[in-house]
Amino acid sequence: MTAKRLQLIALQIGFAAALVALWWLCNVTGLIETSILPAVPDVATQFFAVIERPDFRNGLLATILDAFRGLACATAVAVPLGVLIGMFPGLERATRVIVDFGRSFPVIALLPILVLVFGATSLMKIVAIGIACFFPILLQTIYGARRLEPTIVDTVRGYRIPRRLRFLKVLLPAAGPYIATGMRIASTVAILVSVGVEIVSLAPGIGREISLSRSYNETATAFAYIVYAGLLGVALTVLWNVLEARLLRWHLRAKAE
Amino acid sequence: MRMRTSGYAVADRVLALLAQLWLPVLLIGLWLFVSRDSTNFYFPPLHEILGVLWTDLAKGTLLSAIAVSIGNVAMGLAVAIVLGIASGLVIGQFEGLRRVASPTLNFLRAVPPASIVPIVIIALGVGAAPKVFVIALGSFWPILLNTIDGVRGTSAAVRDTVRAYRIPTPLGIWRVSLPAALPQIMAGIRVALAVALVLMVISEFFGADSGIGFYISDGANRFATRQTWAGTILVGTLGYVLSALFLVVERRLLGWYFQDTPRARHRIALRAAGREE
Repeated sequence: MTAKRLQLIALQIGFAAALVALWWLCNVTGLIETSILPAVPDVATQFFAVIERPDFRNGLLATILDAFRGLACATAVAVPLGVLIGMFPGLERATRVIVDFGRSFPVIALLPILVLVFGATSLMKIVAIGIACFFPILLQTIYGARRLEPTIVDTVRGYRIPRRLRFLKVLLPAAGPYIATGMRIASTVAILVSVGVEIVSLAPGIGREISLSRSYNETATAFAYIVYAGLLGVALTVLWNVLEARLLRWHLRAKAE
Repeated sequence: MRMRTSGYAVADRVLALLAQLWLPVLLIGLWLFVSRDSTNFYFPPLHEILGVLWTDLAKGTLLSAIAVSIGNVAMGLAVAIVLGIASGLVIGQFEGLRRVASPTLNFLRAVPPASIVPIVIIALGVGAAPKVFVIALGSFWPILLNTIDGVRGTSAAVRDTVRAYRIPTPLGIWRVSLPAALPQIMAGIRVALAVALVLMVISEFFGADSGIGFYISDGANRFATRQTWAGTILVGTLGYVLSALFLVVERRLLGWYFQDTPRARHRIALRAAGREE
């Protein structure tokens, strides 16, 4: 079993290495200019060299923190609102068009206005991230709050459980797994929007470093940053897998039965 | 009898429409009313924004901008759909290949597509090609991963049948894997559509002399906030219309699938967003 697993890991590394070799082949044959696709050794060197740079560390930190802040603000507003909307079918119908509009809206289009109002600051970025994260969380929360089992609904009604208790003790926990899903989707959105906003507006963050490196003609450095941005996304996925396994154990267990 | 039912049906539809529309209409009305005398430079009156939108549409400048932007999105998406489905069908068919490739694919998917915009646009210039390339690359990953997922989701019984009858691999892919994976593929394309719109706007912010993104950023650069707002509203409407159109196409293609599984759409949308329910 372990031998098989080791073999799989070796093959997986081999696959990635084959792609890098293909990239390197493009460099050597001059098929793609190094101004677009920099040489493999240069990117590898920069990948480790940038760790020493304070602007890299600060940028990465700013991206993560702002994404987190935007996500937190969006969650704080979207979850109560979503449960509320989910409680009243009429409200759900009335907000459907708005929610559909909001989730298909590319928030990046608001960027010029946000930059005019707030400047190229972290606050501006947090607002953009907050708007982008708001809709996926809202959508999932509404869905979760609406999908309450009829027996539970009847029990709550039968015992005349007051509204406030129903909200806090029944709807919120029942919608929990859906809220988690919404936040998971939103956290990916947060990183993507964060990097996108930084690239366009040069607000502090890793996206700004990518943009700047490129305009200084340091494409290899820009690529190294891009690799880090990708690793950030992978780390986020791993983190969510761990978190969900811990927080929603009761839900997963109930579903398995 | 038939007439009467349809009469009720029409009334029902009108009522349903009203139930969905009163709040949006109210909110737009509120925006119109509150902003009517606004002298705030950043938040001009809505009726003036809509006025600019209307004039520029009538002049044709905005129409050609829309045509340019939609053209880039359509080209990029078309490339991503063809390549994404083709490679997804192949990778999904061979479980060994999928397991070997999956860490690399997951990493590549996690790279924010916006991050390559500066490199591609600065290197390739302001024409359509770099924008189409960026849109195609960004939309490729959700379609690829969802196609792989969809092929894998084919039930074991179906796969065993294909093997038992020794149906040739190409035929099996075309007639069995592709239709079976179609719901998941469509969900992937839906995610890709949203990605494509974002990349369309970003790439036109970055280096362009046409397109809706350029119209927006040009307005901001000249401090013509009405134009910027008009462009932003236009992009929002475009996103809404495109995703509504997509739903119509999806319903056409997948009518057989959603007919008896009302919750399937939601489950599949979740999986497309990278989450197994």
